[in-house]
Amino acid sequence: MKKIAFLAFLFVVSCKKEKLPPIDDKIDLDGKQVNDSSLIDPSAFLLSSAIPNPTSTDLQKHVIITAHGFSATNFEWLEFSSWSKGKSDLLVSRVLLGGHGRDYADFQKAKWEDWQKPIIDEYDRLVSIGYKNISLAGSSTGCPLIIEMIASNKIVTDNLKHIFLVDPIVIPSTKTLPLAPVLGGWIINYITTDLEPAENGYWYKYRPHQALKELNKITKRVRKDLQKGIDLPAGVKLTVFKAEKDDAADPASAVLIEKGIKGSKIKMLNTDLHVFTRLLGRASFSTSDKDLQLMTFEEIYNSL
Amino acid sequence: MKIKEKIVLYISLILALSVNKVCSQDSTLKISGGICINKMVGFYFMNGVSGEISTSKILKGKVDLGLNITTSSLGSAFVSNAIPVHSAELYIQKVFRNGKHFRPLIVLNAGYAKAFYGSKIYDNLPQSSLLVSPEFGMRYAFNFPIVFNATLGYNVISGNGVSGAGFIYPVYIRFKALYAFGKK
Repeated sequence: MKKIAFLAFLFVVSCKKEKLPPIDDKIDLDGKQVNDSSLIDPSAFLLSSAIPNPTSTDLQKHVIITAHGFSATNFEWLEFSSWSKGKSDLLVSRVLLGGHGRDYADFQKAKWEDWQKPIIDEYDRLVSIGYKNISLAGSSTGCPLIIEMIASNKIVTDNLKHIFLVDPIVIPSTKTLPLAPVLGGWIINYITTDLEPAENGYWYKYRPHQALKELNKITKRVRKDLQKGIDLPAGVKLTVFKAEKDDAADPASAVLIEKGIKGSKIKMLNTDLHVFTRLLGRASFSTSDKDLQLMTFEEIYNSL
Repeated sequence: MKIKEKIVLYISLILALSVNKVCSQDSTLKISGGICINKMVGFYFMNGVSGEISTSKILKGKVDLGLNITTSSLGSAFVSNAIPVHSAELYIQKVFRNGKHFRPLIVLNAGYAKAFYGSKIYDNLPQSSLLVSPEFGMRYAFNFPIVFNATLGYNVISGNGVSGAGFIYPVYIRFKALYAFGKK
């Protein structure tokens, strides 16, 4: 409830008619100086860059391509990536969504298709390199981007094995989001989010109305796709991990996915953390949060 | 939750019985009924029926009292995978410029909505909500006993899916086509 009140407060505060937010270039990802590290050193994040010439043993390993959420960076999947180093038959490729990890102007310009493109590109590269067992893992907005890829047949799914969705956003918690196209640009220019100090530099602090409009578009599009029904490609499994008390991505998103994608497996989890698989950077979390995170990592791995 | 459903049911029943009673002895009674098409901006179509009455015995006939019963099963969830959501609302309505073709109107609705998520795994999620919404718009009255209403409303209670049901979006557009019974 507090969070809603706070969001409402931010909404009102952000109603000021100023064009640009007060970006602190030294701290904020929204500024020109701080960028996501994957833009400088892709080989530390993308499997296609890290191992351009894999051995035949590498090609048989399980590969998980991760896609982060709206306004975030691949930092969201850092802990999973680090955890996966302990599994000799698992490789993780962390994708940075288009328009993300750069600056405010890039975020303003990018369409949801731009956000999605790096996921498709990395998948295609890994397929062409010869990886046989590829899975996709999305968190928050990464999830509708992945669902849309499948619904619109944007990838050849012969080598796709599993889709994991962590706190998918199909119904946003903020029900005023559909008003972004109407109010954006004259009543609101951007919405400010409250970041923990350790999250600075990994998330955009300011969400331009253009980006909110794109978020509205992709969630609406996926809701329509789910209403019609989406067929999972043959041999592909889908598992949803959804926090029951998630106040950013309405938990009913899981209901829509279960109804819209026959055969999907839904796990409703007793936590209030949005993207509970990412604990790094949070001001505090409990041991049960940590247990749930590790349990989910194990479950993802064991499902491969 | 079942208690709330019962309350709505009883109120509807009492309303229906009152209409029946008043009907037999009141010459100022006007009864209209018809269809209601409802679109929550950014979410579902919920369609159904509406009925309203006015009589000199209720607030001197200056307002109409009515009932909307709508469901996504006749809207977005019709032959689709959308969530079935059913709602019932009672309303009080004031129409201005009676006698003219174009009549501004204001409405206050109060009711209850319930969704069916379809699995026990969602039992911890809120699946019902009270509804309260002011609404305003325009009525067009034809020369024959049919009126069209086009209104814009605002659901005061809308949830984030945790502290309140997430299937109620705040802004909605509503269209009604009502036939006035007994008029020529």
